[in-house]
Amino acid sequence: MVSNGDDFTARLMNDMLDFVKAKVNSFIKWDLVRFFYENPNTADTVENIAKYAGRNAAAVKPELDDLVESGVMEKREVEGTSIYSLAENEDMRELVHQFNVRVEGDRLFRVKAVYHIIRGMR
Amino acid sequence: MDRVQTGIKGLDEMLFGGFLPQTANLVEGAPGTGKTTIGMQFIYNGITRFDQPGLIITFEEFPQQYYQDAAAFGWDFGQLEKEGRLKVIMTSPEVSRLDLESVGGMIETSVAQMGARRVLVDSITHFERLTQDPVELRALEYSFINGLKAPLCLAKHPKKIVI
Repeated sequence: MVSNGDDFTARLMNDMLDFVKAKVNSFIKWDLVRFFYENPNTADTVENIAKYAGRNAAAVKPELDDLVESGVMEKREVEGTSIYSLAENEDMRELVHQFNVRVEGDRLFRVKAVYHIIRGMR
Repeated sequence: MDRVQTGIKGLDEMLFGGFLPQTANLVEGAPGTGKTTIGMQFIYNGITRFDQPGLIITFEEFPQQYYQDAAAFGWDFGQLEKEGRLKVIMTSPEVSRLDLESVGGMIETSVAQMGARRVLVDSITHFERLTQDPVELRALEYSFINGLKAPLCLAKHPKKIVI
C-alpha cells in the first residue's frame, strides 16, 4: 500500500504528540527540552541548569530526572555531583529536533501539545 | 620554532607568527573589547584555514549566542558542529573541573572524538565563583589548565590552547 503525504504528516503529528505525552508532559520539561535543543552540548548541575532556564532548582530536579528516566537526558555521577546533559542517542536527538521544529513552525501541533500537557496536569 | 597562527593578520605579526605551541594564553580586557570575538576567530580560522578542529568551553554565554554572534561574521558554527569539526560546550567551572578529573569525561571524550587541536575557554574568571582565596584560585586554575592539556596530549597532533 502506498501512503500519501497526508498520511505521513498525520503519522508524524501522532508520533510527536506521543513524544509529548510520554516524555515532555510538563511545561518545565518543554522549557528544558527546548533549552538543550538550542544548547545541545550543555552539561551541568541541577542548580546551574535551573539558573539557565530561569527556574527554581527544586522544581527542575524531578523534571530532569523524569527526562533521564524517559531517555531524553543523561545523568552522570562524578564525585557525588549529578551532571545532566542531552542524551547522545541519535534517534532521541532526532526526536528532540523534530519536536522543536514542530513547536516553532506548526501552530496546530503547538496547540495540541499544550492541550495534552494541561490535560495531563489535571 | 613553529607558531600557532591565529589567522588574524595584525595579531600574528605582533606575536611573531602566532602563539607558541602547546600553551595556554590569557586574553584580558574590559567588557566589550572583543575577547570572545578573538577567541571565536582563533577557533574558526583554525578549523577552516588550518584544518585544526576546535572546542569552545563556555561558562557564560549560551552556545546559541555563540552561533548567532558567529553568524554575524559569516561563520557557520552550526554547520561546523554538524561536520564534527567544532563543539561548543556549556558548563560551569565546578563541573568542568570534575569532568576533567574523571576518566572518560565529556571534554576528554570530545577532544578524542574530534581530534581537537584548539580550545577556547570563555571565561577563566568564572573560577572566582569557586573560592575567595587567591592561593586556592590559582591552584584551581592551574589544575584546570593542566586537566585540559592532558586530553589534548592524547590527540595525534600538537595542541594549542587559548584562554
